[in-house]
Amino acid sequence: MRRQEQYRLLLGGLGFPAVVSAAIWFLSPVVLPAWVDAVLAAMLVIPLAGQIYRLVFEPLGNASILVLLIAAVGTHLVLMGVALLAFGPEGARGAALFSGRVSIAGVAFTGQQIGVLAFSIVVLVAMHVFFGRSYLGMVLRATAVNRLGAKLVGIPTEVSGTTAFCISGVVASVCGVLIASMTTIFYDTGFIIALKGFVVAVLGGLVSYPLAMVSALFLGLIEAATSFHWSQFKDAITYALILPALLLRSFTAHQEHEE
Amino acid sequence: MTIATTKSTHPATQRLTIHFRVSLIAFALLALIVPLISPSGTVVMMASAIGIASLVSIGLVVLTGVGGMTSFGQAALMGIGAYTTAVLCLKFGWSPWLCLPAAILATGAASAAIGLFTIRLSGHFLPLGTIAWALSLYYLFGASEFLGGYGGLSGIPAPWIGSYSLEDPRMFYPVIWLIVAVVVVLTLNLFDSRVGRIIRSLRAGRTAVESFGANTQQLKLFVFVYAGVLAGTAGWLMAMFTRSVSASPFGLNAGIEYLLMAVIGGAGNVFGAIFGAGLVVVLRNYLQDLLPFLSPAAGNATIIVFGAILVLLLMKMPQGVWGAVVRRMPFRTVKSHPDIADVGLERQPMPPAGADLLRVKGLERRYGGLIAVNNVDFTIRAGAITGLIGPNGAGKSTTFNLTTGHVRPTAGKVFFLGGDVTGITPREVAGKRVARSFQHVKLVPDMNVLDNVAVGAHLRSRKGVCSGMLRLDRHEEARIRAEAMAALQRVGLADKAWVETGTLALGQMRIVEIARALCMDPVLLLLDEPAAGLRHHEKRALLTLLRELAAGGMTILIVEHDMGFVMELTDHLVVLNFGVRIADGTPAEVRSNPAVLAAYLGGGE
Repeated sequence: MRRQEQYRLLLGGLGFPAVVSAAIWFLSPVVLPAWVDAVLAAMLVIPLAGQIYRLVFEPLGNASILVLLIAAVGTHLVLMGVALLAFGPEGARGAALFSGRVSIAGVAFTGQQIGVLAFSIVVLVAMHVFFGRSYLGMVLRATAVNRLGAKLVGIPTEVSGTTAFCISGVVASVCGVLIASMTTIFYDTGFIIALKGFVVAVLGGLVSYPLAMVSALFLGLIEAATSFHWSQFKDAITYALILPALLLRSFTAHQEHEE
Repeated sequence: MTIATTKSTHPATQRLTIHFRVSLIAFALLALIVPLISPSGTVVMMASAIGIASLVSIGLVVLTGVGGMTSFGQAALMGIGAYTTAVLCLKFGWSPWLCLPAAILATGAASAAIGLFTIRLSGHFLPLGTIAWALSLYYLFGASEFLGGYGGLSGIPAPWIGSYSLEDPRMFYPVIWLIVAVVVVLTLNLFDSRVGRIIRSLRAGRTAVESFGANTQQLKLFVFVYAGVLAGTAGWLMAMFTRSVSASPFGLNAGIEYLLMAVIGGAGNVFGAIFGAGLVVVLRNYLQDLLPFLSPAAGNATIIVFGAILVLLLMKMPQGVWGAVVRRMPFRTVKSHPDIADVGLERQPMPPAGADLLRVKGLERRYGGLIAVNNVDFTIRAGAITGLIGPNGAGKSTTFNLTTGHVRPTAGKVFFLGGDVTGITPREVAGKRVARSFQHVKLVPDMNVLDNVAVGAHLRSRKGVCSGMLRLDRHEEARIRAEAMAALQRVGLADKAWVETGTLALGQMRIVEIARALCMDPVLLLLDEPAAGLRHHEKRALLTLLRELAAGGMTILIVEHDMGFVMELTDHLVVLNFGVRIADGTPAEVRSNPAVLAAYLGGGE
């Protein structure tokens, strides 16, 4: 019965993406407006996050964080391999969603850059409201602190996984759509960006969204400065920044919990 | 010596019978000869690659499976070993053999430096941190002009013996597997030593082992460096074998592949690590041959297969494949028990009976606005059995943890034998021969009972890592085991010595904790609810045991809810309620104290 349900989910999960993929396949020779491309991409990617959760993480159930993390890395390998097969090793660049240029205080911004900043702020506020005010947000937080404890007091912990993956899917796919026109995208670009995101989150102390944004700007500045002076070491320095951040964290963080 | 044929407990410490050893040696000889006489060069190449990968994967078994720290960065550390070798050979003209200790030193130093940051992280931050520094190192290798950029360094001279060059892979192949064999022996010895016991306890949390004087941070760093050095050795082998070094084999994907090998083997098993390495190397080789036939673009698709295998293994066989393979083998590994000496470890004298052993003055612990322990005073005299009682939430366990250094007091002083010990760490408390048991049992479930108990003797023995790996610790180990066995006999669980601890009943585990505490030869024994979960006759036995211990000069402080047990056992009672001491005296005095009656039975004040 449980298995049947899994097959049904798999079929349902394959049917919708198959339709979208077919649409994309047939429409690919046609030059469409950028926003149509963006919507099609989002329709393909957002359900993927939920599918991954159901296929990989839900069956793992109560496994330890380390097992889940290794499973995540395994999933990453599969996705990256599929991306390599589908897109090939060459990069691609998308059209800008927002055109035009604005000059604010003597600094020129492209429309796309304004869009990115606006989206960041929207996500920032939305996350704040979601986790601080909404019932679902609080369910997620309670489940994160103590799954068993939350379950015992009647919190529906099983929704948290799907919700978390859907949110991350939405945010990630919008990020992808926005960045597609700003840099050349390769099959593994997403991982590089996400890992920089992790460095930024650690730099920001993993406590607040605004602090994370500030540290993202800081990382960007460092990257820009190193690519000017020692361009070949740019990536080495960016990822090495994690070490001082970890050191700082190890001095401020409280003792590791047990049990 | 007891010889029992229980099923093997911790796979890492399997001791092998003669039959198994003979077949192992035969297998090793076969593995050595077949590639040498096989007409195809591929077999030698693959067997060599397996050997090199095995070293990294064994390091990961020690680090992840036993030490509990997952690293994606072992390939990058391997790169440090390989590049050290290449640079010293090519730019400074060193002999290839001399590069081996240099590569070991370089990776050891690098992993010590990186480990200092990394091991402090907990949960998923640790593995994510390893991904970040692994990528940093990878980009550093590729970007460095000095290291030859992404093209790398080539033309490393082949090592030689006398005038005989090992240039032919067939000649170098035995060197690889000789090193693997040495590493397997050293690693198995390490697990089965005084330090190894603590390393195997790391996954179960640090509180318990710190309470018996082990320095967990130092040991975690050691484990990290050990795994790093193995990766560095593999790096040297790789540089010698391929005679060129470039950044690509030391990237993140390689790091993930090594972890996959350890997971296939079943984390925690040295032979499983070699099996995993073999499976991954062979699979990769065949996939690279096979996949391009399926689709011209599929050349790089090995990554998809490996990722899917990793996820499926975690779902279906989280214990790894090696365990299942061993169970289907025609022979069984039967565990023979190690030697136990006739005499245990030396004992230290007890302080004179009646002396002021532990004095607590004005002890206070606040958690924000909550005062868990408020201005508590009491004195414990040497040789007495003191009970600490009170209703739930009275602050008993906090008081307990304040005296053992697990919680720091916000005010007040603790004196031990007249010296101020306020705020010292659990390890320093252990150094003063104060042993404890825990309210929530803290034992390693997949280690046998004897080994868990032997952790208690950590501070009474001193053999280190090197003597452990070289088996120079056998005499001391036998005496430690004698001590642990004696402690188990005392608490009446000697027949369970070789049983996996996780299979015991909860009440028995509490008694094992007492045996572990006794192994420390303590002056003061602190017991947190030892009688919980015991049956009537077990409680009687515990009562007799504790009385005997006190008669032998040991001082005991006990937190317990079973009033009949406490009243019968103790010489002196301290009663707490809402963090305040409400009574202090003999059991008879306390029993008739109106404040105590009110606290326990309710009633007007």
